[in-house]
Amino acid sequence: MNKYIKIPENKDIDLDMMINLYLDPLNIYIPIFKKEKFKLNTYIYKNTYFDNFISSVSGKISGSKKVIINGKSCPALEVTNDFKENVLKKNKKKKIKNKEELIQILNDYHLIDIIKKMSNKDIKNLVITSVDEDIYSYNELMILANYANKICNTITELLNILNIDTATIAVKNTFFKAIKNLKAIIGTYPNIDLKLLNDYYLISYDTFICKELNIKEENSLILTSNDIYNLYNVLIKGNIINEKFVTISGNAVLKSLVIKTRLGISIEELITKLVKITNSEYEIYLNGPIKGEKINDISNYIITNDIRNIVINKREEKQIVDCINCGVCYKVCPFNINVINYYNKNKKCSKCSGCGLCNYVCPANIDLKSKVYGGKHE
Amino acid sequence: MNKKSVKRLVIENLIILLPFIIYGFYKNGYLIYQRNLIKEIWLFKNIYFVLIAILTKIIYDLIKYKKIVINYDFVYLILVSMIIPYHTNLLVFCILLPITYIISNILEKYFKFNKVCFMFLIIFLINGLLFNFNYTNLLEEKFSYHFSFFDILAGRSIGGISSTSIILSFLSYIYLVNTLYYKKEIPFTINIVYLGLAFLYYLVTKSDILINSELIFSSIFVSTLPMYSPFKEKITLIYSILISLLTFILYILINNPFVIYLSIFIISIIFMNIHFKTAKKS
Repeated sequence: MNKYIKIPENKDIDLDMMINLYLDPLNIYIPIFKKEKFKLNTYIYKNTYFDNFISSVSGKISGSKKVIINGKSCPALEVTNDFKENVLKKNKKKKIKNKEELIQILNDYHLIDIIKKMSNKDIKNLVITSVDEDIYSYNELMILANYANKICNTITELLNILNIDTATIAVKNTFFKAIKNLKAIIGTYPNIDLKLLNDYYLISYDTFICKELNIKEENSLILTSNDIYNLYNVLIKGNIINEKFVTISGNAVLKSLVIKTRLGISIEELITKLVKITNSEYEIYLNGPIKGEKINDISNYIITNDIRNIVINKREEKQIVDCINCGVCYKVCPFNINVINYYNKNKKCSKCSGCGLCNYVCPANIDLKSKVYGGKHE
Repeated sequence: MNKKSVKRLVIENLIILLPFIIYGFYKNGYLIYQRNLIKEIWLFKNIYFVLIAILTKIIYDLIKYKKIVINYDFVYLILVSMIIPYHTNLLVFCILLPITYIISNILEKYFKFNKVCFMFLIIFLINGLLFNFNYTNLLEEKFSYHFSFFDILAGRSIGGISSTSIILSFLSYIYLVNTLYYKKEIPFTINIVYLGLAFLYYLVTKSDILINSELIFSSIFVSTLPMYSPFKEKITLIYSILISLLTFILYILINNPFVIYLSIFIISIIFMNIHFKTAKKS
């Protein structure tokens, strides 16, 4: 990383160190991207795919509503949970011998993100990062802290499949519980190393992690703890992934939680059932106040694969003023983008990763990211 | 890294400038009064200037916005009231400051220029033409004009009414360097290049060039004003070197410590308008 930026931790956050389960929602919502018609009361089996979205419970279609996915409104089927978990056919666990077979099985289980990371690579290094992108997110760390054994077993399995000697688990040096749990068991896994990283913002980016570990990005497979947990379910348990880890935190929440829940559940239901909001004046951000987006009406949002955390912060009055040309947006940008120049020209920048640091530091409170970020960079 | 709002940055700047005003009172008020060179009423001369600056801003805001707006204009006006010479006529300042402030606000819509330098140069020029261009205070005129190194360091050097303390300038710089929102490279480069040039000049001509507190103060506070200075590394470097170079040449030609403001004014116009137009209003 060219610029190491440390964002101060929010000391108002009290995190529950256990992963909370919310796996029996009353309803789930399945977004329908194609123009298909469904009849009311049609029975939907658990683990049925609709485009790329999975039905995480079984039950009858009880209605429809508009939901917002990636900032766009689309219709969704409302499925009322019958709590029977009926599936059409059970998946059989297969023994996987090599990378090609692994890609095939990942394809069958719709783990497209992991396939993208693996394809076209001569993998020589395996790195597992337990570093969350957002300062309000604790998913990766909590998965590692709570499922350390499962993670290490899956890594060993993966090493055999990919024919690699050792793997490295990278953890922020500030999260003592995950480090303690991992250190207690890592001795029994001689082919897994532990690497502690400094607590810098964006250290979770592949490019920066490789730089920190002094390895080449082009022949390194970098997976998150969540990816490994999903692989555990697929490779060891033979389960289809219909669950999602989400952090609900912020300074307007009594206790911040990491929740294991179902895909398609309404965020409103999740918040009202699980967290206590301490302040009457609050604002909600999806995927964090720095990188994510502020949402006004929560009722149209559901848990999808790209939602990692929900932040509920006390409302702050931000006065937007003219740019003072301080250049801090340029100073902090990890990709050295002259953000204000793009902003003035009303142009998108393909180099921009949408990390939101420019927005975070701007003393004039200008929303630079929304104009500069083109949405291409990952 | 902590986020700061514009309002907070302005307040922080004003707090940093406060010790300078107190020292200005000591040097250009108390010490002169002690020697019975002035009446009680002129004991607080530098504070009168600051009050005029604050009042100008408040009245302007109340007329224009119907409320007081805390923005960088507060810093600009207070800086002008601090860098003017001791002999500036209070009435002239009282009339010219609001006029130059209004003119600079109108002109700023068409092109960017360093407002502080603009206001200062107009006031300095008109006051000089009406009275004199003297930049020393009564004490320096009557008793001593030969300062020791420690005198200069403590602030007893020639310069603006509240801007002569080099120690305070250094302390402010040390604080500002550790903040994200300060263009720390500019003062560093300006002073290093100027020192280098002064040394070379001494080697060639065997005559001294006075390193004055005005250069240090203005490089720390005036040349780094966010709105009127570049922020990209290389451009900042060129900007600073050119300011030093122009100041040095002007100092040899004019021999006045306030030439630094003319340099900053000229260079900032070039950088902010012709070549690197980055300060466009959003």
